[in-house]
Amino acid sequence: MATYSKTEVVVLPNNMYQFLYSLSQQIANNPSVQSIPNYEQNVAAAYNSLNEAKTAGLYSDQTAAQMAINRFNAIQNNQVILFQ
Amino acid sequence: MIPASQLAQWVQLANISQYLSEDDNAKQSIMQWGPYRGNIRLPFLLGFYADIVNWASIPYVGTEPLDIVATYMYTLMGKYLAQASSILGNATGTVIAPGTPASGSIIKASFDQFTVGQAGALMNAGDISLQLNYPKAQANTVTVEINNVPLTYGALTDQLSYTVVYNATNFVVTIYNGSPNEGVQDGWLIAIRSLYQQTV
Repeated sequence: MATYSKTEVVVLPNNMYQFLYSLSQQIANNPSVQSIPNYEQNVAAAYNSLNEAKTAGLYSDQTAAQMAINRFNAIQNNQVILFQ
Repeated sequence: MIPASQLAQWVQLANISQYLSEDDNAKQSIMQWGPYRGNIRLPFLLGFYADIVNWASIPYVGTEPLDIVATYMYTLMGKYLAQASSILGNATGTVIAPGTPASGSIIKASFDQFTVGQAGALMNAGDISLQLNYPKAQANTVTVEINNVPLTYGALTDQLSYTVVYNATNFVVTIYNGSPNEGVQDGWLIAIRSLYQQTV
């Protein structure tokens, strides 16, 4: 299991926020994207992964942090399918 | 461009609006006896945007995309904005104490709460009336609650109710429970509040 430095615990959520910020722009520019099936559920899943990663990082729970990050990466990698 | 201070205020308003909309949903689902689906996404969106704007307000303050995102968040608050502003404005809270004159009298508040049947209760099961010795109670200020529900004023026979007689040195509360009046019952949590004058 990977071990994260304190810097990474800050940097990783920062990258997550960056991605979620782009999603929030997508919604603000065109609120009708929310009618795409499961769009909001996918945003919620990504957002929950961020919060889980933050919490896990706070308590140095590397396993939980890794799971949350993996889930988030899967969402980010599939953004063409999930958010368009 | 929206300044950082205003963004910070909007984030606070959005956080409060999230609770208000969640509370609204909970009330609606009680009224409709089931899940309320109308605005179920709003609390999530408000919380999501508050967090994102809060994060983005440091690296992206003064940029157009952030202004668009923040303005969209502001529109989401909609009808909750007024109440959220009021709550935010009262965040510190204020306690207002009545002034004490050199002579004359001051208004004080009384509060008596007890459970019928328990030790120290001011009424026993079957009792109809209770005298509380607060002097010069102000007319129409005595209220009675049973199990945290306010009672209707009047001598009514088709529902629980109460009346009050105001005297110079006390007031007397009479509780009406059916006809014939069966009085208070064991287990009732009774709370009585009043405003009265105290000479100084």
